[in-house]
Amino acid sequence: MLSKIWDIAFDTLTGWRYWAAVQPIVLILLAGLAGQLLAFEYVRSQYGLTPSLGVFLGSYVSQRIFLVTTAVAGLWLLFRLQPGRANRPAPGRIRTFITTHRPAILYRATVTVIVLALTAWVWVVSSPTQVSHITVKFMGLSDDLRSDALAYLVYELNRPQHEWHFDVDFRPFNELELTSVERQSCDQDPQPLLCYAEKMAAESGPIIGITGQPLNGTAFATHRGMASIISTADAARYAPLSSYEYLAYKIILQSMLIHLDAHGGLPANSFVATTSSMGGVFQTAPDPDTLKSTILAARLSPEEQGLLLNRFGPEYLAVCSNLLSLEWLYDGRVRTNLEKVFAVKLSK
Amino acid sequence: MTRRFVVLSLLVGAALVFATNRLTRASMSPEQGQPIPFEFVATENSRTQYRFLIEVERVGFLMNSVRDKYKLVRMRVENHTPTALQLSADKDRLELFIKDSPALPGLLNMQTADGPLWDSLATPMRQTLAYPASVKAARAAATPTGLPTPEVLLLFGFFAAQPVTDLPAKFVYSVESLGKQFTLVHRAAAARD
Repeated sequence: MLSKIWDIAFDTLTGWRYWAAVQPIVLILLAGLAGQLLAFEYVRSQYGLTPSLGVFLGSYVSQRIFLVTTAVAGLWLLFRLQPGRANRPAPGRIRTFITTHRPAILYRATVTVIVLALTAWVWVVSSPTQVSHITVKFMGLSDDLRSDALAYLVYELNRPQHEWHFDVDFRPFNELELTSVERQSCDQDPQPLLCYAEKMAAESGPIIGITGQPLNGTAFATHRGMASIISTADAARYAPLSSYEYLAYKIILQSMLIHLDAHGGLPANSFVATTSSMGGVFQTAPDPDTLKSTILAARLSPEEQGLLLNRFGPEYLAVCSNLLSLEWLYDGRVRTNLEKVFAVKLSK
Repeated sequence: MTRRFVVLSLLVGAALVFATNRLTRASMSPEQGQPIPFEFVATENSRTQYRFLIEVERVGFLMNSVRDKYKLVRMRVENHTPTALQLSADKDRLELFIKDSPALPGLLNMQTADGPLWDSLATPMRQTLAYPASVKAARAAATPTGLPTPEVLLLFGFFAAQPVTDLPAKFVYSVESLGKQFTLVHRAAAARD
């Protein structure tokens, strides 16, 4: 059936009197379309990612293919139009040819350079950014948390990563290490721990601090620039989920916030106080008790997928989507290791 | 004449040898070069709980100072107990006693005690010198002796340099969380007593 439709369409096209003129353009467009299909399949097979059509067409991958297709089609048109053909000199007379066709040659060369430069510029500008490593620092863990088990969890988060990773800083946090000026400024900050983390991040790169202390009226976590603090003080709100499940989810989310903040900012309307929620990871839960629902059904919306795909590439998006789902945590190997080696029980 | 010259030469030579011998002995004996250990071992039911040790190097302690303002003392703290030892830079105290002089208070929180000096130190140095918040609990026994492996930490105290005119006689270290004070005395002197 499909082949018949194709045959009819092909016969109609080839019978068209302008077919010879438009054939190269049609071929270029078909090559572009094939490129889009191949790229989509590559993203699917290579990263295990199945973006919606809208997300894919809005991605830098699709846009690059569209850009190259347009550039090739444009250049073909440019060389198809030959205004100086009437005065064609005898073959072999290069100097005469150049002299005669100087305006056309200059015009085509200029347009070709502009098209290539524009294409290269858009290509470079649309390239995904290489994200930085992030240090996880224990800033006074609650008594029910084991630092070695938490370190294991962070190492498991690193397993699927190829482009960046978490480092665990085991050195105990000590605010006395700060300069007196830093200490004074942080003591006046509504979030002193976040301020300390910011000071450390300024010297050693992005940092996620984990603490058992409450965050001065802020539930769960707080973030600013290159630093985030996650608190387990509100454990009752995410129970019966264990602190390990909660922290695994929060560490991934805060790492995404740090990377997004460093490269273009957070998604529009993220963490705006609302009375309704669709359970998005970048939404504030109207009721803190519903955080566990968000954790259990964690997902990225198509807009958020598109944002991450364009900023950091398909691998970043695939890894973050996978880690946020926490399926790796409930996987047999990780669960067994947590139970047998660290005596840590997960909620499900 | 010749004999007098020979005798004089021998006398001068002998004097030179004697003087050279004396001059080249401007060093300490190995015993004197050893640092003086000030120690206190806290025990309960004859089991060690905490061990505090300050070693003072005789010449270095008297000659050196931090920016001509402070004498620096390093204390080794061993925690043999199964619980962490909580410390507080603002509540704990370290005092130095020189013979019969009154106690010289040590500064454990240089961040507030001398901000400009503290701020001038490089980050790694501040990280080393900052008074710790706790000493972790001893690790569970993994040796055939059945004794837990103590957690060891080094902490530093600063003393105003000017009043320190002689070697310390003892140190007194008070830990607020334990509600106790420990007198660190010269190990050999304590043995003699």
